[in-house]
Amino acid sequence: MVIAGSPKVLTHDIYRKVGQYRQRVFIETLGWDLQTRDGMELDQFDRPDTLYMVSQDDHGAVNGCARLLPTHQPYLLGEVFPELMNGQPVPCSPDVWELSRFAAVDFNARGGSALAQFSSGIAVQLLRQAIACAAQHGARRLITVSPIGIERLLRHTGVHAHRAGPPMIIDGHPIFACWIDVDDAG
Amino acid sequence: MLDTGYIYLTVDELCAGALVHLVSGVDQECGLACAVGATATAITGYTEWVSQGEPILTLGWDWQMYVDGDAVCLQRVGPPSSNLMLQSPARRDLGHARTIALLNDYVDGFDWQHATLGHINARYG
Repeated sequence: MVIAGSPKVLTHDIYRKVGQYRQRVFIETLGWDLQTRDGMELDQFDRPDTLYMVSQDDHGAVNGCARLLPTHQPYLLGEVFPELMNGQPVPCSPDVWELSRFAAVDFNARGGSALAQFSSGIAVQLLRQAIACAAQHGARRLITVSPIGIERLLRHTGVHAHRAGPPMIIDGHPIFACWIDVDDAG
Repeated sequence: MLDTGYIYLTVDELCAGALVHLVSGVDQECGLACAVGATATAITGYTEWVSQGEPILTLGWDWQMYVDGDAVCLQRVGPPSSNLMLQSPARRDLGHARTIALLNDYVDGFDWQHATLGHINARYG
């Protein structure tokens, strides 16, 4: 089950679970150097108006999440990674939204790998619903800052996407900015 | 109108330039398991190439490792990803599908395997 909404809609309990899940995925599993608050991975872009996608299993455990931000407000690529745009200006428009903190690691699934997250059924469902949610809020395109592994998920999902520029190597891993078309995402 | 973010080139322009190797890696979910006792054909990874100058053309694709006799070889699996939209000589966009098809041919037509294997050996060896 995937639910979407601002922190107020998600309820405090789910919002906290998302923060804890992100800490487990991005900091403890992937080793990213990110800030934490009270056992949750949260940054300056986790605001009252931020939209979240949350996937939960049958027992209510979070097994996927994503974050949506309109680019006419402060957002990750625009504030932290503008160099990923290959010399082009960063997007700044209410019809371009950023997808970030995408994860689909099911810690309760046997045989799963945190690093194989982009090939899971949860990931496909989460991505489709994130695109649909962004479209409902006026997005015509998404821009995302992600590991290049997300391209496999985009192809698997049948979403048309292309790179905004070359990857940057951060902690040995290629990170890049990617355009995702909303109109033909189906 | 939204900026597309594409670099527009004809096939001739693409072929006239040279790409340089940026980085390659082994898929980590398989890396260690495959390195210990599994067959070499189970090893997969990625490679990234860029043009020189601005704006930078980026091209990356996945590969699979296999053994041919005594030689360790790589072959492309899946289509390349890029920021490129190929155009006809008359400067008409060829579209996403045609661009991908032509990039498949382009990648398969040059020796990327040597640099990629060298990088993989240096990084993981």
